[in-house]
Amino acid sequence: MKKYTTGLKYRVRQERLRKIRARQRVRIKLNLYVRRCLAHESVSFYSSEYLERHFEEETIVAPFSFDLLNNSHEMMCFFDRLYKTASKDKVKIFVDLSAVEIVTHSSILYLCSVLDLCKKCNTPVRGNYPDYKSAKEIFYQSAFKTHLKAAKIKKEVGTASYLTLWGTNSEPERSCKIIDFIAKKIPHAPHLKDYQRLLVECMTNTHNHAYKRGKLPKKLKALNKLPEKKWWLSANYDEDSAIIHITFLDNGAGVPHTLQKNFSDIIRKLFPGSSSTDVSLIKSAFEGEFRTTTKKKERGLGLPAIYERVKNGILTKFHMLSGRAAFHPFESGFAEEALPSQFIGTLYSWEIKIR
Amino acid sequence: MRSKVIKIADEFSKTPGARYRSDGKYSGEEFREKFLEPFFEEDQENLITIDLDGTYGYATSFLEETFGGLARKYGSEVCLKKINFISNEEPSLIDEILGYIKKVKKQG
Repeated sequence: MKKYTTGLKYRVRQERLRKIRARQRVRIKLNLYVRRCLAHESVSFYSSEYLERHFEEETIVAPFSFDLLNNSHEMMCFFDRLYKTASKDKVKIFVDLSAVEIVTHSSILYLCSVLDLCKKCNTPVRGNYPDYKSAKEIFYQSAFKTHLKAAKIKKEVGTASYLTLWGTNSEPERSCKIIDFIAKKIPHAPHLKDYQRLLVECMTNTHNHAYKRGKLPKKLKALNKLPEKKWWLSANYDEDSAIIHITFLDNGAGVPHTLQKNFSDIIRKLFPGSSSTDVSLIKSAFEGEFRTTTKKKERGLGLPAIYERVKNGILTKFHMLSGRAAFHPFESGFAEEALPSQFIGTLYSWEIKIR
Repeated sequence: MRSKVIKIADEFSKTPGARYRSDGKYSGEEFREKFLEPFFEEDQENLITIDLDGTYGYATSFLEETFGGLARKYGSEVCLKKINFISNEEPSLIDEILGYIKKVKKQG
């Protein structure tokens, strides 16, 4: 058989072989990536040499008080920067937590959810732990450590002191694991059924309303991949203060964007200081005004049911963050706060005292 | 008149879910269609007693879709005559469910 070593046919053959070899290299790399993902190993789609050569690392420094509820301004800036960096191409993120001294479990859970979004967008993430000993302990006592390392985050992670779940539908058979966790710490806890009711309502709201494409904020749409319809749920047992912290959150559009708006709400939004619109929207939804976008009279019962339980003292130290509003209803009224920028998603947290 | 007792925790689920089948497992829509509507279609005279005890808890949307949905389909007066409730663990549930059934009456 005649071998072509020069000429057009030789060049065509060489080009074809070059393409075949390139495809083989990608296939080998993909197989290795998939195998390591299935083994829950820490893995980046890109090799470390490739990352070193082609990716810029951006360091994002966490504030001293890593508390979404009491330090909302700095925390919003921190997370805004995370979202913005995750939406860029060929950037890797280093989350610098060394300066953190005050930390809350709800903030850690939100950080885990945002890092999960970054990983889905193939943005490599690294980080460190706080230098301050007690803050470092709190990070170790949470699911953060497992979530940071794993390429594919397990649906349930827990020890004796915490339990973290994530899901996509309304999954009452999984939220009851949180109820069992609480029941183990407080054997005759009085309001377990109310907590289960609340959690099922939250999961259903996330599934039905939070991730509608037309309602998602620009920061989420700027990411390479739109987020899955995920909710995150965590129970953390603080032995020193004998308190269980419950946090439920999602990374969707936020409650104000998914509520039915009146003409006056639309007009108010045109003027500066539109954060007051989000506060008034959430307040009216809590108070049972007809705000459901389904326009069915039998719907829109979830938020009023939550407020009822706060008024009855069943949910203590209840906080809600959504849109540009931070909401703290208590037995005799509300405390509200306009956030400096939009909080992506919705976060509910409350406490249960053991004694 | 005979009375059929349905214990949700044993015959349906210990973890009742949300409103519709599309929301997830053990929805109010599923419970109503599988367990309650057959009685309303066939057994016009017999009573149903629903035992609400033994579950992890009921979402508002589950209760509304089950009993409010039943009232929207068959009428709230029929539902109030035909259904009794047992709820020793959460007595306030009965008033809540009756509220959903009667609300349909006012709207209708």
